[in-house]
Amino acid sequence: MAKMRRDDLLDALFDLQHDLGKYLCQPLAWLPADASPQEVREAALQALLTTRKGPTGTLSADDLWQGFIDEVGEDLDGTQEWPNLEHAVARALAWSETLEVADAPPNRPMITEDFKRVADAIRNLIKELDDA
Amino acid sequence: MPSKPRILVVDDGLTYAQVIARQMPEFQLVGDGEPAAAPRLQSGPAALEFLTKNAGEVDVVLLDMHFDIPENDLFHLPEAPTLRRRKRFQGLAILRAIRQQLPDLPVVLLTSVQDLSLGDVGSEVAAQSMTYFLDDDDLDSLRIRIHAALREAQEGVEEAGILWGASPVMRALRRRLAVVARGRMPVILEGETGTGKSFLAEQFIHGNSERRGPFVTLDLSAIPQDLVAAHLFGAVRGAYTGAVSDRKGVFEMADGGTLFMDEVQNIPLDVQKQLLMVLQDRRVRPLGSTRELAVDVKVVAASNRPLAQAVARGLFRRDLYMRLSPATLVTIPPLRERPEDLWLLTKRLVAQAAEEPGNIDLKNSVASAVGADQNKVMGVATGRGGLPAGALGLILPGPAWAQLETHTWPGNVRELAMVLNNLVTFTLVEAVDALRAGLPLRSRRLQADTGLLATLLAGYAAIPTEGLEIPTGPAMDPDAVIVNVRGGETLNAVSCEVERQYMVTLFKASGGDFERMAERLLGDPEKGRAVRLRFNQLGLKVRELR
Repeated sequence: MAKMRRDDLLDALFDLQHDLGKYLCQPLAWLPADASPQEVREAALQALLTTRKGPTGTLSADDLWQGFIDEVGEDLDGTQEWPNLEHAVARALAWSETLEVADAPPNRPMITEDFKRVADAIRNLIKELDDA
Repeated sequence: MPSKPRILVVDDGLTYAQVIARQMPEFQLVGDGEPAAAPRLQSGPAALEFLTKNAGEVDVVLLDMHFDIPENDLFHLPEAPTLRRRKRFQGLAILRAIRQQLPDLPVVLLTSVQDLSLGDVGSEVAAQSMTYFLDDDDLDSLRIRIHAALREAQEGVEEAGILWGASPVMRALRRRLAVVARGRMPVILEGETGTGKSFLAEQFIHGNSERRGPFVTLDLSAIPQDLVAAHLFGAVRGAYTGAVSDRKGVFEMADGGTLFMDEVQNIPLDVQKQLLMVLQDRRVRPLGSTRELAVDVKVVAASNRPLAQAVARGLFRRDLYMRLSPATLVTIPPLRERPEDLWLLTKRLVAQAAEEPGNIDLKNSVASAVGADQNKVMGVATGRGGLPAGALGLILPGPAWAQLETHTWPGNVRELAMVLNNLVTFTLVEAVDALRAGLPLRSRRLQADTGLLATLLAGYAAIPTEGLEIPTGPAMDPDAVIVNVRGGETLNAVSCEVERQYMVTLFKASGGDFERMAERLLGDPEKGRAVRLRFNQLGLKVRELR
């Protein structure tokens, strides 16, 4: 992999870490420990549906992920950590359907863990490229 | 600090300001940004403008790293050549701008250090004092981090083993040293015995100079005058009587690094001229050699007397003093001038003393016997004050603490360390003896012996404080004054210096009473005015001696 290309990929990954990895986790992380099920549901949906409020408008987690794939997905396909990242994002995104239809109280620890996995997977992919 | 610590949020997003406003009522958000309920400033220029106008109104800054804002509002960042990276690492550029103005303002960076991948910049930032990373982005971590930053700002910062204390004078000293440490400019360090000149030179100045060569010390008070030049510049075999082999000078040894010249005022005048040449030309010629060596050395010249006074008396060359650069002169304050640090230092030194090899077994024995936690450092409290949970503690009764507070500490921090070390040892030995004698010992609060402390301090009380501003004779007894004179340009200058030192000693021994001085000198207390006149003629100022 040429150095410039690797730097471009790293730039894209760092942006993804900021826009998706960080903002996906934040709404739940900032909730108090005794937050109600309704507050947890709203925070998790906020994380997934209004993930990044930037100067160009509001983007959902799915928008951010699709944008990232369009930009560099092809180049990263084939790295060791890419499947883990794809899997982590898919698990996280799947929560939006569950949260919108389920009546049961949301499982905060499980959602938090799934959202954190996205940040961890991005970090691992950055490390893989950094070490390459 | 006001009842609620004041936080300035610098962030292009709303999240952190909202979280503080909603979830942390113990803090007050400041700043003139929007919205009013959760104000924050959205760019570096806005933050700097606010801090410039309201420097004393902010206790801690929360600073985001990624700023997705118009390019015109971004600070330049040399490490980030693209706009994308300038945005991503904009927090660093803002941090640097804040540090230029407010080096001691606590700043919490709202990112984790592992996500700050920008070459060595991450570790550079992590090593700065009063700068913290929010490694876990959640409510509890943020609250803990803010409280820790505020606490450290109040209690004083410790770095590279240096406990700076919390006093404004030590904060100013740290700022000043951080500036003069950079580059190759020489530094003059003045401070009384025991203020830590050599420690600061090595740990802070050399440590922050980014010089890769060694740190070399030369104590000029411990070298015979006729060997000073050989120690400084080196010598070839046969250069002088006793030079049986080639000898490297300290300039050569410190090449690429830092040379600490302690008690620099002791350099003989003829060697001072040679030293001046070395500093000017950055070349050194060993004694007896025709060969010159290029040297790249940062010089730290330390003195326990003001070099400017030595210059005024002709004991130190003016041109050398100017070359050493009075602009980089830093004075380390004596302990008695920063009483607000006494408690912090006492806590730290008691903990250190109990962990020393001779004491730690004693401490652990006593801790085990009284049910205290052996893994915790020894605490200290005054009177009925509280100790850290589970820790063995040294209790200083009110009168004992009063003694520490009123002592003048002529030996400064080194003296405090020795006194407390002795006090801890005696207290632990007494406790162990009591245990061996089968006496019941149940409390983890070990009472220090006030009488013993008085005895320990009495050994130092007879020593006058050096006082950087006014040189005093080393003895307080006017019948046994040892004067410290190294020669001058004229005999009159020498004899005046002798008389000056004698007068200062007599003045102190007489409690500043000129009639008593006149009685002693002239056998007539009525002649106090004449003594006072002579005092003035010698250039001595009563105001500065009292």
